[in-house]
Amino acid sequence: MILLARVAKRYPGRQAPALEGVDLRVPPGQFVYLTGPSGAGKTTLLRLLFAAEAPSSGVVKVGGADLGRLRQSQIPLLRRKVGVVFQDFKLIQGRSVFENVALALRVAGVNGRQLPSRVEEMLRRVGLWEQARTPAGDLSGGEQQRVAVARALVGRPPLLLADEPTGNLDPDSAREVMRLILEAHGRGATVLVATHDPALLGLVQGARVVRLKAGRLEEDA
Amino acid sequence: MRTGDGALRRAWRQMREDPWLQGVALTSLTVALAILGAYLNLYLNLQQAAQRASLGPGLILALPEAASRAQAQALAQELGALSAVERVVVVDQAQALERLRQQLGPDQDLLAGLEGNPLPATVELRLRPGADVEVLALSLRGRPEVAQVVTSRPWLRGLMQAQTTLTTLGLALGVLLFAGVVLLVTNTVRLAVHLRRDQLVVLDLVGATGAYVRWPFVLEAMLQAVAAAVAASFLVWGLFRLLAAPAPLPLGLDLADLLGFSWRTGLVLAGLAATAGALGGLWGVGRALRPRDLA
Repeated sequence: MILLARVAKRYPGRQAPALEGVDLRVPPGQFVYLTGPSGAGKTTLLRLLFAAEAPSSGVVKVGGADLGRLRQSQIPLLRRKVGVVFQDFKLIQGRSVFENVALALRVAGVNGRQLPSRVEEMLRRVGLWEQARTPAGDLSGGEQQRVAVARALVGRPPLLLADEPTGNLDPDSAREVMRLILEAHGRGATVLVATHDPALLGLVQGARVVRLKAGRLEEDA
Repeated sequence: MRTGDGALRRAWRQMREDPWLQGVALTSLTVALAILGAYLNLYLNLQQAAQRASLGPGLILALPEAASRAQAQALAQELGALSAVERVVVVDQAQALERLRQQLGPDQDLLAGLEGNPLPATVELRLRPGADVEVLALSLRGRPEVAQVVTSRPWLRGLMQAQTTLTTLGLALGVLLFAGVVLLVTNTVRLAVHLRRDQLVVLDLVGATGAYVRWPFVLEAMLQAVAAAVAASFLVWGLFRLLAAPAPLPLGLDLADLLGFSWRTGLVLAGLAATAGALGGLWGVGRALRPRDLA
């Protein structure tokens, strides 16, 4: 599913590389924690995986596609196969919960009767169907993150990336969000969760833990 | 809940979500298009007036007081057969007086004191392009059935020669004004892109294509421009109506004619606005969106 070979990422004006010599192979269906202190390169690594960044050197492959060779016009197609959840939710605050989740289907050309039924199914799964018409900005942080998870999963992507998904949440909300991510994994999705919270690591039995430090892969267990 | 998601629907939703931006865009575009519309209207009216002036007779033959209508018609028939003459019109005394009355407009009571009709009957000749007015005038002078030969006024001939230059200059100024409207639309779209940066980041994340993101902005710009063109048309119409008091001008024109607003001008303005909206929209959104930078 994911292959990184000798990947480096350097930003102009910064002496230390964000990533250096990273090799990583993640087979389909695996649950991977990406851990390490702040600034270790976790977010950069995730951004490489949904083509928000291009590597400075090395090879990044997702689902067989070499992202370094991807044309600009092919990036949207890749992103429809990758669900992404962020610490700051990245929702359209003024739009309803329904619209936020429906957006992921609309851009993929899903319309007609299929769209509302899939959004309803997803919102029921995350327990937010009753708030479908509520503007996303009116929800609590935990609820907003559940909307973000619903949006990431409604397109049934084979890969789910989560960058500090519980960073802004209280423990109960964090557990609920992790439950949803685990559920997606249970349905067959490959999952990469970047976190520096050791409490999260114990939530998933048998998960692979990849540790980054100063841009280098330090430990893979 | 709505399921369809065409570009027009998304453009409309974007517009409803940003009433402040719509207000700013519509106000500035209305002012800019009102300037363009006023210019366009004046330009078209002046063009028409110049055309009317250039269509006037090239040569006027005043007939003696004793000339009968039959003599006038015979002369007209003879002159109409000449290759240099395009059209011949006989204007009898009564018609000449009525024409003068119309030209005087609100001052036509000046004619009230006349005891008779002092104007002669005339035969008016419109010449073909390239015909030599002076040669024809010379050949007609001295004929017994012609009392006087009047050629086109030299300043009018000068005006007609200057017409081509004025048309080119007028078009150039019009293009400049149009370019100003396109730039204004471009900047409005950039402002919209800036204000909706968060939304665009989300769209980019969920895999929206460039076209999916761009078209609503272009359509929004076109809708704004057409709406502003309608408002600008009413503005120009009202303004010209306010200013257009009847006042006679040379060449038989009236200020009211020059400041008259035709709804065809409004349609042309709407068409120009839609074009400016499309061009400015495409340019503005094309320069403002860089997909890789968004996420």
